[in-house]
Amino acid sequence: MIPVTAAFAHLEGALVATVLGDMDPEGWNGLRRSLLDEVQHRGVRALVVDLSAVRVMDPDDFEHLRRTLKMAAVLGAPAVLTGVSAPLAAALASLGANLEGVVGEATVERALDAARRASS
Amino acid sequence: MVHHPSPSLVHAPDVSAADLRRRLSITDHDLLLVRLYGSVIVHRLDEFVRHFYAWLELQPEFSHFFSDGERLSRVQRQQTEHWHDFFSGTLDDEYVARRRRIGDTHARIGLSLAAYLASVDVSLTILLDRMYDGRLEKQAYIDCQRAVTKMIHADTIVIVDAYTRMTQRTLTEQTRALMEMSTPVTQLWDSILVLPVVGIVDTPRANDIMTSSLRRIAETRAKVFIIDVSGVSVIDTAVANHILKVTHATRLMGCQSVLSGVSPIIARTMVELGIDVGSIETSATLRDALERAFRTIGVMVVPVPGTPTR
Repeated sequence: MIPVTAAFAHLEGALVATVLGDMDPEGWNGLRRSLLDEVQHRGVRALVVDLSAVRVMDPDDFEHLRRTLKMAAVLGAPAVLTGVSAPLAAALASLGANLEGVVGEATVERALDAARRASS
Repeated sequence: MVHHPSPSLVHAPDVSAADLRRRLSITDHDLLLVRLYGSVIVHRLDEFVRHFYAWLELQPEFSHFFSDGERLSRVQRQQTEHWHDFFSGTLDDEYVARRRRIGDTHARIGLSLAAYLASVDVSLTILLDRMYDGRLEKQAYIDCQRAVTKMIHADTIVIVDAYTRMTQRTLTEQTRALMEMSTPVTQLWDSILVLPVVGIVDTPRANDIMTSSLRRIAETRAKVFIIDVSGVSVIDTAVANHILKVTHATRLMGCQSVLSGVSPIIARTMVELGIDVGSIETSATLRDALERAFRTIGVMVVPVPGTPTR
């Protein structure tokens, strides 16, 4: 049984996953499994992960998420983040999280655009 | 991040009447002696004012603070009231509060502590020496002198304390204002922010750059953030790494960072320090960075036809 960690919304081949809040490593693990399942089984071509509800993340959790996004890209769904707050971005950068290859956008629309552009 | 200079001074509780009694071992008997000495001189306070202003006129600050006569007579009146209050021989918290206001006033008008302390010394000489008419027993006079001196010291402690707090407060406000002015993240165009970095970048300032730029990016949903380092002469590893972190953090928020105004020296430093320059967009001038920013947000700047170029 995979715990519910995110709400999924499908929009014409794109998937918007809204993370429901702060999570422990187990939660991020669960998110990876359900996210990759969804991408594989629903033929998702672009992925947006909305972190608006996430206030804190440690660099390890972020690394986990970064790899998840990379895996989604390998499955054919380039991923873009949205809803990263200023304190979260500052904390991740200051704590030395590896942000390489991770792209964010200020709004869900922009993120969807960016992800779709990357997939075409 | 704002650094408050020695917060202990600002947050220490105000001096109370009980503190002063304890510190200077002022007893009720001392206060009685102050009242006794007051009965000798208080009806001749106009004499004090005359002596005091004869001295004050010779001071360099005099013309600066007492250019108009009205102010002078007001201050003289206040001073007479002050000594009446003093020689009533009451040392309670209201008395301390009245003295604290004097300190605040002195600090506000910018009178130096040196000038104030000199005036205290002169007042002591006038009160205990020049105005004394010899009517007390010798021992009583000596005891009165001691008690009056203690009270004057109590006044001085309160006033110096108030004065210090006032200057400290000013300093704190100035530091805060300076910190805010030092990171003017400015919106240059819709979706374009620019931060001119001038002078020395140390760790607190680098942190300040991080927080204020990310806050502005969140507010404006900017797509391009230009960090202009034309005004920075040298850059060290710590600062370069910090700028790198800022650019990574802005990317998470959907904003691309461009480092502009990179001088040859800075370029050399960055390469030699092994900083991952590949992950930052850089340009030599602010103009180039702006041009690139316009392209990113899809804006074209074209000359208006018919406008003379020069």
